[in-house]
Amino acid sequence: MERISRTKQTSDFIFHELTRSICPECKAVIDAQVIIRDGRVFMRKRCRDHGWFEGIISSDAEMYVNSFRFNKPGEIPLEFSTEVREGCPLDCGLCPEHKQHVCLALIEVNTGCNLNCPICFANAGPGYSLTLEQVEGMLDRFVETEGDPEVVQFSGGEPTIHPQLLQMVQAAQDRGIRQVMINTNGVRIARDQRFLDRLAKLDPVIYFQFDGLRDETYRTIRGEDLLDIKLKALDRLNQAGLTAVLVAAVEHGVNVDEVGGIVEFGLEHPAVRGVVLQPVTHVGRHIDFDPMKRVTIPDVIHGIVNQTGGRFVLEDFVPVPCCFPTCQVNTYVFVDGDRVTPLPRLLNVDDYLDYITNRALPRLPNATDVRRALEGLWSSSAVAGSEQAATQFQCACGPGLELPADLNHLKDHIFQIAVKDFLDPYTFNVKQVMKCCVGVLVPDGRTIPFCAYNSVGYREQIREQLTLEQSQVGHDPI
Amino acid sequence: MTPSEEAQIKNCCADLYQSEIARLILGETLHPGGLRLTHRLGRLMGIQPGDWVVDLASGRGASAMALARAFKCRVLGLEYGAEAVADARRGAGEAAVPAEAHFARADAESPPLKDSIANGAICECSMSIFTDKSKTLREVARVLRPGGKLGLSDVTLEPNCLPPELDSQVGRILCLTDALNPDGYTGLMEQAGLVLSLREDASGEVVNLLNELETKLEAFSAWQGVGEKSGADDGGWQDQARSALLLIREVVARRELGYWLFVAEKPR
Repeated sequence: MERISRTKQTSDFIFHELTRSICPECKAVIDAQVIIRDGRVFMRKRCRDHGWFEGIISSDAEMYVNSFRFNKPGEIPLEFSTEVREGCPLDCGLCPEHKQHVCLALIEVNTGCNLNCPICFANAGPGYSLTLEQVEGMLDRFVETEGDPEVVQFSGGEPTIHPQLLQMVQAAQDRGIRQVMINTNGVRIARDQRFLDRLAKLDPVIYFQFDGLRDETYRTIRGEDLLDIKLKALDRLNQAGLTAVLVAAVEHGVNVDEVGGIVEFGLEHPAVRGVVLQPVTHVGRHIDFDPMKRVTIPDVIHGIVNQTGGRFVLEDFVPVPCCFPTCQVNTYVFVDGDRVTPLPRLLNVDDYLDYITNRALPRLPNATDVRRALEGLWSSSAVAGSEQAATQFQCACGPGLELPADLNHLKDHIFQIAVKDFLDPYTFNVKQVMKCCVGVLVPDGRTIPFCAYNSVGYREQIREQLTLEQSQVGHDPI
Repeated sequence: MTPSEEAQIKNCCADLYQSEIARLILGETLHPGGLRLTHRLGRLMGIQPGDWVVDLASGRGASAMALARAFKCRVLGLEYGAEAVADARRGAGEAAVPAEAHFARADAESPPLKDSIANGAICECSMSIFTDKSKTLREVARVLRPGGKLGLSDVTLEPNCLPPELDSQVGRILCLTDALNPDGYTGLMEQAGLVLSLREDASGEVVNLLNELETKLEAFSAWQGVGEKSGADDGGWQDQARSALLLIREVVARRELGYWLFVAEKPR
């Protein structure tokens, strides 16, 4: 007779938490489990109609769990724009249950683009083009809800092809918004000197899409060879006295082996003040992907560490506490010729930004100033290359560094590296969205947290509505 | 005060605001809240497209340009410092997005303007340093059309609350020594025949500014700390500045020092 084993089996995972997410098929809000298996973190969830889904959210469980200490109490905006009705993430926003104000606001000025990339979270193409009056209204609303708004980023589509972009940048500056960024593919900058000359007078920071140093990378991600155009645009920005932050979409099998090269290129290029590495977001238009194999923050950090010949160590990268701490890590370095000194080597950043375990600040006369400076740097509103970031860096590191004789040039020596992981329908976590501090401004006065905008269906609804309105008033969509 | 002493003070203030150090530390717009509060003031005044607005003590013209563009109004900036006027004109000529802003060298305390010609007047962080506030406000009332609005933002200070260490040069630099409390400004406006429409406490902006100044000061000290061998001067003034900032912080925390916005109307 066969014997049935009575030995209990141990599961192959650690149950980390229960949270809420959405069904990648129908977008219904469903429960989701976060589990740890083989040192990696996964989200596992079930939709009543569409079954089970699983996707990786971090390839390094230790790093993931350690980041939770870097969680700062939120700042409540002056005004909310919606009420709580259906619950998160269906009431955006911001609704009164949101846990953080908006550090960085995005305005997507159009849907049209001068490229046609195989991947595009915004699914750029025909649609709408906002008017200057609409944008002014959105900026006014942003000022109303924030009081002292810090950063606005103009995006699209491709914002540089909007005929009124310069007026929009000026409108933001006229409202006292400290930093204005333009998120661009750089094509117009490479080709239109007159546009660049006018842009230079406004001195915005250029958030410059730059995915790598191989033609092949651009062919895969952007659909054409763009490297020469990118290099030309960066040189022109430098001649015009403008500064750029390189932004790379990182994907397995495409350019994950180039992240170190991108950082080193940025450190050397005179126009570049920072690098933002973003795992490709599988929303909008994207290449077929396996949710179990997506790039996560630790993959990028390990890439930087392994590909830069010992310049960086894992501990140089510290989670950003203003948003949910699993969303972004930052580091800052002081660059002087070949010498590269990461800020976390000069002081223990954990002492100031760990809000859970260390309640008492180090006993230093300027500890409050140092914490404030570090909070400024480890924030979504930190802008690489700004005077503010340079001053904060200097304030935090103290006299531990041989700095250039001319303090005015300090900002040319401070370099930011950020790794930002946006959510997709497989990794969508309501807990992260509730504390999101990157918001998309909408003409009707709402501000939608960026990852909710991309994953839940807001983008599609708003695009449809704006396109329809525009066709009724007879504007030509650009 | 004799007229020559008065002129000296005006020149001294104008010089200070033209100085590179002030610009470096305080930024382009030399008042708490910067263009953010300028815009807020414009909103509270309800400036309409096409309105004529006079900017009293317009400095390098940043506020005038921003108001003219944001509200599609026309701004006339009056400024005592000749260099600042020249800079403002140059800035207006070179702006990426043009604005209807014009600049003239004039004493904002006695504007060389006809009666009842302006729809609005703004006065940012400068009433506190004007030597004859009553006269200036009477002049504002004269220049405004009936129904015209004055938008005023300024440092507020309760009488005799400044510690003696602050009540001197530092006080003057920060527009402190001649500042009034909120009722003081309101009273003078009413005496000049203006009717207060609203006032708003923006003292949080002073805290923001203090935070920013402290960061800059710490940064500068750290830099000097390593630069000592290259012959940088001793850190004496930095210690003074540091303790001045601390003292100011305490007065702000006691709500005796602040920054307020006022909107007053000339009766129809």
